Amino acid sequence: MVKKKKKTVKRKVKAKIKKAKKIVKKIPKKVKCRPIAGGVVEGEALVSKSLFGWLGGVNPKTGDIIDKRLDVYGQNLKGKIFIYPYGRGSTTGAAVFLETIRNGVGPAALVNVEMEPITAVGALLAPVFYGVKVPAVDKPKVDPTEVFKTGDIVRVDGDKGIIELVKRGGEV
Amino acid sequence: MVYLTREEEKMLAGEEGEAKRLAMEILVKIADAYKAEKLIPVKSCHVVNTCYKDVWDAGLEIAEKFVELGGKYSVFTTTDPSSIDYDRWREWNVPEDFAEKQFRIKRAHEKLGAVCVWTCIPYQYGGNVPRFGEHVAWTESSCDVFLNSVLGARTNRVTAIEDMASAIVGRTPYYGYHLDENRVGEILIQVKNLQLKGDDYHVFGYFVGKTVADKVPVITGIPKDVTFDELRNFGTAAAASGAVCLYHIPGITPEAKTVKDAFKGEKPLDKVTFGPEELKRTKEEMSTISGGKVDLVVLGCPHYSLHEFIALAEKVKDKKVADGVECWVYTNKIVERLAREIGVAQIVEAAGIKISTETCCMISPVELYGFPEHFTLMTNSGKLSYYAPGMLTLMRPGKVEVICGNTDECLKAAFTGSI
Repeated sequence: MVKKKKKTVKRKVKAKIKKAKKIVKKIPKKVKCRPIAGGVVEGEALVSKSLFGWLGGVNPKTGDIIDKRLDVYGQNLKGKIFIYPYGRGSTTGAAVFLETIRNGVGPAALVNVEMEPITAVGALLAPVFYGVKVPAVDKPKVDPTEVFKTGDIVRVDGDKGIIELVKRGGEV
Repeated sequence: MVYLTREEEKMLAGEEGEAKRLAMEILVKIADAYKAEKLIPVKSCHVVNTCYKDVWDAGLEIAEKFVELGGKYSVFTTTDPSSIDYDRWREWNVPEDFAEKQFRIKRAHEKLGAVCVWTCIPYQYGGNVPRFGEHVAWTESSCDVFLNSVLGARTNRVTAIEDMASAIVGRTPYYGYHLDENRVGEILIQVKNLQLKGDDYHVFGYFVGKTVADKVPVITGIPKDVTFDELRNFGTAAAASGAVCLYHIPGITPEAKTVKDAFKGEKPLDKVTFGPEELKRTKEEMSTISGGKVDLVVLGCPHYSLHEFIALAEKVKDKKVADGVECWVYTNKIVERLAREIGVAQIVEAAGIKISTETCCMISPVELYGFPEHFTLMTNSGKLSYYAPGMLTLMRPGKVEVICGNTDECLKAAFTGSI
């Protein structure tokens, strides 16, 4: 009786994995989002599942991520399509973000599940003060921290609100 | 597109000067991104583009740009802390060029017409106190959560640069926490089998911020005699570990009389319990090591209140900070003056504790003050314990360990050198 139960559970788990694989394969090539800051850019994704705050999250001189509580601690933001769930922490964030842009070590684009204004304002003001467009989008139809993996080549269209998987990266 | 009044359109067109044009451009961009229907007038602002160690040259350049363009703050505007203690910075090891950059930020805000109180508690000691229901545009995550929750005023988590733009035109985009619909409770937090007191609120705040991220928590099980300072310290930690901008404690905070009222009849998205086990676990999580030798003890994040000073003086009377340990308390000039008038500042200083004003630990260049490369900081603050490891290694490579404890434990470390 017990054996039978185990087998059923195993089968169920297998079915689940199969289903999950199917879903992953089925990722829409283009994901619709809410556009926040304009511009179009293609680059390497850096994906985090942690809440991220600019102050104390990044060294704005180098682009290094310095918050040890984050799963992306030790990585560098420069030129990355930075994908994470939500912002948190200090309201000085937009200035810290602009300092990364000023020093040429900022991210190329931002994708959030939901973008709080602190991050959005940084992206909106980068072209105003430093002539650099940092496309920013949020509320994608799928969870971007699940669908995309660090190392993927991703294209972000901040004008139309579209993210697109161009190429799977080495880690997959 | 956001609706603009005639006057606002004029400002955007540059008819009232370049500073107002730039400020309007910034606010319109934000309003459009967040689909705000209009801008609304604000009664006051509090700006955070004030500390060089946070906003760096980008913040400095933009502040000076607003001055150069002829900007003036058009509403009552106070300033957040600075990266140096303006009177005593030479007593600490602050590099000259760093201090000069901070003085440039100070001059810019003075020229723009700010009331320079350099504190994160202007609503408590600083003369900037919004009333219930008033719309304001404030920065400083710890202020935002206090204003919305305890005072019942309405502000979003306004960020640096946007803060100056709002102060210049006296307006803010009408969205987020300005609207009734976004002030409804979302997650129920039940404190059970636990009588929270004193520094527990820092820990509880850290837990809530981490748990709810940017949602609106509704909290039950808080004793009726919870103090102003305890609520303040709770929100400060919650806005650091998360993005909490509003919470309701039915029967204590003014916008919700009952739990049902707080959720406006809706069901909570989630229910979470906080008890003795969670308190212990969170405290451990806030620390990077469990104990050992302590190099630096810091109190006053957020800035120490007069009540806290009086309580501290009682605890440190006739005691002395151990050799080889530093113990600092951060506050603003108003509190320091009052503490001196009633004699408690002298008692605190006689114990070997240093009082520093207008700045705080996480935004001053503490890593250049002569500590070993790998040093240990102990604090009662949820906010400082979150930020210290990253912020205190920015200007010099090294490693900072954090031990989080209540005030008594912090003082034990200060008087003995370890915990």
